[in-house]
Amino acid sequence: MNPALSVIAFTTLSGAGYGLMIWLGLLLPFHRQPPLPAGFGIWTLLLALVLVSAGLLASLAHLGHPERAWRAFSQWRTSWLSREGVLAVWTFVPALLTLLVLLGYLPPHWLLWLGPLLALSAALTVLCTAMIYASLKTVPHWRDWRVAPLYLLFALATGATFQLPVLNYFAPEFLLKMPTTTAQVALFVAFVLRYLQRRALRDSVSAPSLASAVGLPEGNAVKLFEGAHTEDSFITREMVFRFARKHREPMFLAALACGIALAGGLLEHASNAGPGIRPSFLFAALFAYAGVFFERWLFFAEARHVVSVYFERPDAGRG
Amino acid sequence: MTDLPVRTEKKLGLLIDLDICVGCHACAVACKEWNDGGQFGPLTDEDPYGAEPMGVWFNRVHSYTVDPAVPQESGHCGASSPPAGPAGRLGLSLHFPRSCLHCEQAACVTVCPTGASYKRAEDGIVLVDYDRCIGCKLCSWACPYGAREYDQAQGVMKKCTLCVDRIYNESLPEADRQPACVLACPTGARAFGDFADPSSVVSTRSAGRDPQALMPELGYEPTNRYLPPRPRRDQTPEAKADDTLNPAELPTVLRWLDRMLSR
Ligand code: SF4
Ligand code: SF4
Ligand code: SF4
Repeated sequence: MNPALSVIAFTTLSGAGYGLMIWLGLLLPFHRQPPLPAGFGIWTLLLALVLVSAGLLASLAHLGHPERAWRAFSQWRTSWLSREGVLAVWTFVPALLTLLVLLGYLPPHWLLWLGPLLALSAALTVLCTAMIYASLKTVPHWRDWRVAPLYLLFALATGATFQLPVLNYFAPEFLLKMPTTTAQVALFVAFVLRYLQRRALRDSVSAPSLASAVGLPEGNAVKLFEGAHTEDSFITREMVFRFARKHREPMFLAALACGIALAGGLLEHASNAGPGIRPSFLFAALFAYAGVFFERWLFFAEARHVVSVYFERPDAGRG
Repeated sequence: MTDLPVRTEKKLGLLIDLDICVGCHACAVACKEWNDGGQFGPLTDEDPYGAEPMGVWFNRVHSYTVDPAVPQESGHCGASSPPAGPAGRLGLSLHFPRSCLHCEQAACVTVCPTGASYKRAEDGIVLVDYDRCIGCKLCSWACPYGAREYDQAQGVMKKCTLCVDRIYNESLPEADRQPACVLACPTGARAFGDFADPSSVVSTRSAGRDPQALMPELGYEPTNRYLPPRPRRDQTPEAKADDTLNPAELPTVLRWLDRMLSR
């Protein structure tokens, strides 16, 4: 599949934003000792809102008619894209109410139910985003039970990493051992599960053969002799993307290097240095994001759409 | 609207006989011509005279070669006559037109977030409402057959309409109320009709021919069906040997001529 920048930006930015909302929704009401600095909650929530909005705006850039995007809320009965849209808009409600509590306009005890509601709404939105892809029978790489948990894990991992520089800025006296370890573990688990998924998929993905695609019984060796057109078409540009299959391993190594090695190492370094403002937290967040960005690029670029079977050159290797 | 109709009264679709199709692209060109100017046009071309011309088509013809499988019971293409073994095996060429199959379980419809894609309850035709489409392209991802093409210029998704603006068009003579591709096909490889009606031309023409759904394992239940090529006549070296002349069977004059010429 053609990895459109707008879609990668949409899923990774909004994922990080919703990840932040999940952690915040769980932390704010239940974290008592030591008390979280007020600025942390406000600025983390603002950061989450900016990330989510940027992601949603990036998704609009993918549309042929962004001015009609409001129509996309209507088909929630069948369409995961529609459900994602509805939940994305809904999540602004608990997020903005939480912001009002943090700014002191609403009673603080509201957080006891607002926090979990915010976390749940954000998590469901991420899952709907994942299901847009995981529900497509036409892309066997995506129709995999691990896709939805992976989207959630990557959102949690980037969210956990993104909140650290903010926390560090507002409370330089805190030793951030616990939240740092949480972020490291989340990053590690997400990327390792993705590694295992890629390995499992390499051996197990099965798609219809060209014989089945032209209505002949299995066993007939059907080969492309002459394509339907000499130039590209929308279908070949969008679905028959070959670049990634050539460069996939270096790309995934880059994702692992950024997401686990660099981000994890910088987190380690930052949390071991004494109290004070430590820029390593910020760089760790940027590297974690880069890792997830590369991973998401591969998620699209590596996936084979079944229609590509009609276009396969006999000498082109499958896979 | 993106719910699929529980059942459709008719199942209008195309029957494509792969035994007859010669890959002349007449159907594809006629489709482009009619739909470019019809109710669902234009089928925009990008950079038409430039280095990388690209455009929207509803119907495309691919050509394949088939090395038939080792003989099997069923009467599919090459499955019975040509004997196995690289020497004796007879390849054949297969010309394969590809357009929307107007699936009964059309995921292109259910994934659409706006309701722009819909399947008509009255005749089963799958259409796009250009005024609602936001151009998210998700339907093209959901279609396994590559039937949907995005129109960059208009920002909406397009696809075969089964020539809905011809088949119900009362200003056309009755015989012309058929899809443009069917009328244009010089060999008669394409037929249009109601698969739900056993007396329709698509039903009668497929009798005894085992019409095939494409990629049935995906469960889209396409309405359009393809008739696989009939088994080829035996043309192995041994079979050819049968063709050689037996002079003893010839009339006297020819036998004499054969003897003279064979010297
Ligand atoms: S062939 Fe493709 S576009 Fe046509 S109904 Fe089936 S899924 Fe939809
Ligand atoms: S591109 Fe248009 S028709 Fe296709 S799913 Fe999106 S809104 Fe629906
Ligand atoms: S039915 Fe009409 S729109 Fe569909 S392929 Fe044939 S000519 Fe084109």
